[in-house]
Amino acid sequence: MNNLGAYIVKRLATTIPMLFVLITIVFILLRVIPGDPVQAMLGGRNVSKELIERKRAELGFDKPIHEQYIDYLAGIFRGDFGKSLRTDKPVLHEIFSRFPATLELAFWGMFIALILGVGTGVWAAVKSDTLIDHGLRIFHIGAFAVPLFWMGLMFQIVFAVYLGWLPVGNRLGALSMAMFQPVTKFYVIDTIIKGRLDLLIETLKHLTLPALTLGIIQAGLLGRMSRANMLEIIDLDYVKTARAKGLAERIVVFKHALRNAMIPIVTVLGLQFAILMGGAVLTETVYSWPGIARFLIRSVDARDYPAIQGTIIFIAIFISAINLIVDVLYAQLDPRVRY
Amino acid sequence: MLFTKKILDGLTKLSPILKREKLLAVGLVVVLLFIIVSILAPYIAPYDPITYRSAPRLSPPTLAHPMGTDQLRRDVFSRVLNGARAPLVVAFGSIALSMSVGTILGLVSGYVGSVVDRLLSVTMDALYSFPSIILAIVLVAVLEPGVDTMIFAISIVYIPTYFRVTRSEVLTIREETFVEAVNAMGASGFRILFKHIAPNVVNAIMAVSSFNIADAILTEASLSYLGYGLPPPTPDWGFDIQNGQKFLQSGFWWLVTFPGIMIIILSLGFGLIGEGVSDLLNPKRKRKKA
Amino acid sequence: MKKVSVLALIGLLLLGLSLVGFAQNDEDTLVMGTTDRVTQLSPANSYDHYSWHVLRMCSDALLKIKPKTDEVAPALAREWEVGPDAQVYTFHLVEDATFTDGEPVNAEAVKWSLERALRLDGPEGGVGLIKMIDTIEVLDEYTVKITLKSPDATFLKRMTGQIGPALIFSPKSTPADKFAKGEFAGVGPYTLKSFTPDQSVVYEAYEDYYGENAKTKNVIELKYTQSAQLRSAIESGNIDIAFRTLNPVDLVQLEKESALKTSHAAVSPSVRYLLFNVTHEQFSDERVRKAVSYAVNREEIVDQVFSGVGKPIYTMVPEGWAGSLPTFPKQDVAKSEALLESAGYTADNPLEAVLWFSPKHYGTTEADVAAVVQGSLNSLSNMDVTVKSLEWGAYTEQMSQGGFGMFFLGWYPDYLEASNFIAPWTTESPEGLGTFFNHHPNYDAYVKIMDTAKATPDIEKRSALYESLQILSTEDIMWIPLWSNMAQAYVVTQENVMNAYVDQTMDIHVPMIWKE
Repeated sequence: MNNLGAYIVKRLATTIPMLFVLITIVFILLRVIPGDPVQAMLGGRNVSKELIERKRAELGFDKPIHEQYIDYLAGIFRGDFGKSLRTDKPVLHEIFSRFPATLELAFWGMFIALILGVGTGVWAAVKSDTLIDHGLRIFHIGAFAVPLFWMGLMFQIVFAVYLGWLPVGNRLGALSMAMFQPVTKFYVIDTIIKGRLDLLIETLKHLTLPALTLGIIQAGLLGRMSRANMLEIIDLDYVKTARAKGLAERIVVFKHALRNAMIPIVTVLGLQFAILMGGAVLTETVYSWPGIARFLIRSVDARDYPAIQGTIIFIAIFISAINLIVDVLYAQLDPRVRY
Repeated sequence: MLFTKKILDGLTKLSPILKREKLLAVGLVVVLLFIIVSILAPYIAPYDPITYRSAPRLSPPTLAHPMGTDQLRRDVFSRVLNGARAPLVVAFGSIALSMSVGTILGLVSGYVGSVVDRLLSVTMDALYSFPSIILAIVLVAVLEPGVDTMIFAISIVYIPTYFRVTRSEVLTIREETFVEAVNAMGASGFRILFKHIAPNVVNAIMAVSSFNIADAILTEASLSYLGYGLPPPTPDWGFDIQNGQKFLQSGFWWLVTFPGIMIIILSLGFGLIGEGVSDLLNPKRKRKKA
Repeated sequence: MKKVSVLALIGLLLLGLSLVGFAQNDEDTLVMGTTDRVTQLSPANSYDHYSWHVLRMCSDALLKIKPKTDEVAPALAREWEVGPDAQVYTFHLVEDATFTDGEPVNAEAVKWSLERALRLDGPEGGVGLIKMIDTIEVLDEYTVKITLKSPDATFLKRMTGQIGPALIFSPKSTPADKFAKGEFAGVGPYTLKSFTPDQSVVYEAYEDYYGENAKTKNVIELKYTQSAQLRSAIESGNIDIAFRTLNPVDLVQLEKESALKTSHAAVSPSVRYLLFNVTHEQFSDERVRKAVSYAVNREEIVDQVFSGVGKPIYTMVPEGWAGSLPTFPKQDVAKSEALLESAGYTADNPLEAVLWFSPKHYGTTEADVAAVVQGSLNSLSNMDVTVKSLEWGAYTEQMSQGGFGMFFLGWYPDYLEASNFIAPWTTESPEGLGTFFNHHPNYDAYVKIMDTAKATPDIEKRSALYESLQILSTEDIMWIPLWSNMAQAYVVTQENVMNAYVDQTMDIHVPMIWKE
């Protein structure tokens, strides 16, 4: 356990400089370019130059860049990410009110990706070099090749517009959204807590297409990996022995091979989650999902510096945390690994 | 001279390989086809993708306009053909840039070690762990839109991959005796780096890069779909899909469908090449059932 | 609390019904869908259509615009007198009005509320629109006298409910020294029950309203993110009204193919135009600007980019408004080429110019508009135009630094008077809006005419002055009016929704709408 603690400390020691680098890059990028948020907010209106200058001073954009940078770092250190210029609320508040939506989407996306990816990957390995294997491999490569936003649009047009089976946009119908008071803001959980079966169904209906879109893309990568791992494991002696001993094929596959093949998958889960967050940007845009990725896009368009910086740092911290958890988990799973 | 010979050697070796590796063959054909189309598009496209605006408005596919027409009475087929250039140029450009920068940094970092290695590694880890598309969006959005901006933004995403691959290869090879032997003979550090270590890294990089190009094509499309791509009216698949989106609900499906299919085929082509190369380098992946 | 649970019940009921695909039949609740967004519910620090719509639902101003006209009508002031020089205004208030918090609406409250807005003057707000106020005096319990810094005949229009900062709020429940941000009590047909940013605004009728009571008791306004979703909602019967903004192509389809009721305002004051920097090296030549004004094809923009949902315009001032005079010429390519030739440009030596646009600020159609205009200009033998774009912040910065010769911009009125469509680019913010018209030899003439108009209380005389400026502008060409957006002027409703229309104010009058 001491080892574990030391490992976590060591990991944090590398994570913090990483975050620092990221913050700095984003900060510099946002300041070197023309067109600041005040200009984006007030430009093109019938307002005086003094008003623009006044607003700029009020937000501290008239200070020298190094002072702004120090102010900004000091703010982060205090846990103060500043106020969003677009919504005029604390950035952290904006992030926390939207993050559950992103997390819920990412969770179900990951869920679908794992089921679909690992399932087809193992199946392809077991049936290797048959027609099924070829078909599944094409699915894996294909899933990886389809632009996520395009798949989202196609799903919408088929399932929402033509068939009318599933709704598109937001986490619930607008009216239910207005009437429902969430507790945890994870709607699947909240609707169950409140015993609202009707809303649970509505939530799941809204969640299906976005999660499926996000999941399928990931399934391709996971599937390829599962297949490759599985093939290696099947070749190993002990599996061969198990087979020779006459164990049923299914038992060999699931009990012996699959468990060992899954260990390397765990290592990439953290990275997968990062990719998933990237995918969330497009998914949230296509499906009007009210998460932080869409918030980021809108902040970028409005040149809302504090919101952009805050969201990026938040995502970075979140992903670092996920990676840390995954690494620790992996170490627990695989006794060969030393911290 | 040596280089040309190598290429010729490679080509003669290639044909039996291609017969065996069907995925690789199909991928190469697709990609070559797209490259040819993107170069010849201005000559083979029936109409000008930008200035021709005399077709019927929003017409479904017909013989004259096999992929239909858009709201500005332009020919979608001509736009789709011409739209191949942007993703290809951006994808190749960004991978070439990230490959060279990433490899060089990786070589330096692995060979020099100490503080330089630490600093570079931390920066690369920061970039690597972060969702690449988000980084690219922020980069493209704040810089002026254009091909070079896109290449720059997307290349940043892949630099860490090449850095990591190269660095770990260098660390492995460094220990091997032949470097030490050369060292003893008194060759300079720099020469060792490029002449002896670099070739060893190439194999590892080749496998990664075709997957990365496939990914870069998707990234380019995503960026331009989100409105951060080349300034319109330059034909660009992602942007054309965004444009078609508002007509989708009203049943004008062809504006979104065709550019999307092109993205899939092209990215699939690179994906197949990647798959084929991986199979070649790692025959274990493809085995007959015992 | 009880009301909330009743609302929740209603909501449930509506939901149950909507799930099986029926339009709800609850006559007491009106559900409106919109893609508009509330920026901030602060009368002194917000400046957008929908935020002001919400504020206007919850309170009145001294005056209002009479529905379906551009005339001023009584609201909290039942009568008023205008001093002969248009500088002193006396308002006599209604005597039976109380704020929703129980406070009486009297002269003190009006003075307090207006002075509060003037004092706070938020940088993102529209207080500038009433800043000509010098002093506000309480003459007696129900009489206020407002004196302006200088004569301004448009002042009555600025005291209507169309102007957010002119709305009157209660001194008791509205914070005196900070922006309200939803914390206020007004004296409007509705009270604000709840506001959830980016989700919903819920109102309930104010029963002690001094005016005509709202026709429908409960109103829910739901925020949709995209036109596609708004369209699905109205098509499936989940909402009664869809207002601001469906895509043109969606509007055309709904109008043609569905049983829904579609109507729109006759004219839209949301105008789009080209501007010139009159000091720019290429465009300082009047003949060049004039050539462009003869070359543009407005119909092509409206028909192709906006599926016909829009109107070509030939003056900045919306058609039908007092003082509107369409003065700009129709397309005439020969004339255009001749003008360019007289300026020294030939087929071998064409004018190589840049047309600037910003790709996102005015929606995703802007690139298409630029492409169409570029097409018209390049059809001239002696012109060669390239289009370039910049993100909005950089765009306006460049523009206000004089970096653009020819560029697109859009305007949405602050108050319903012709001057608001003439002054901003000529006399008020010529540099901020990129025309640099203050360096033009005729600048002083414009200023003089605008000043005279300001001091002319008689609307007809004022209109004549505005008309003269519109005629002048076809010679000086700092702008080329192109088209007006109509999509925002459309309202689509279920068949049983009565009296929903959009008028000059570009808003629907929710209190006057009912369901059958």
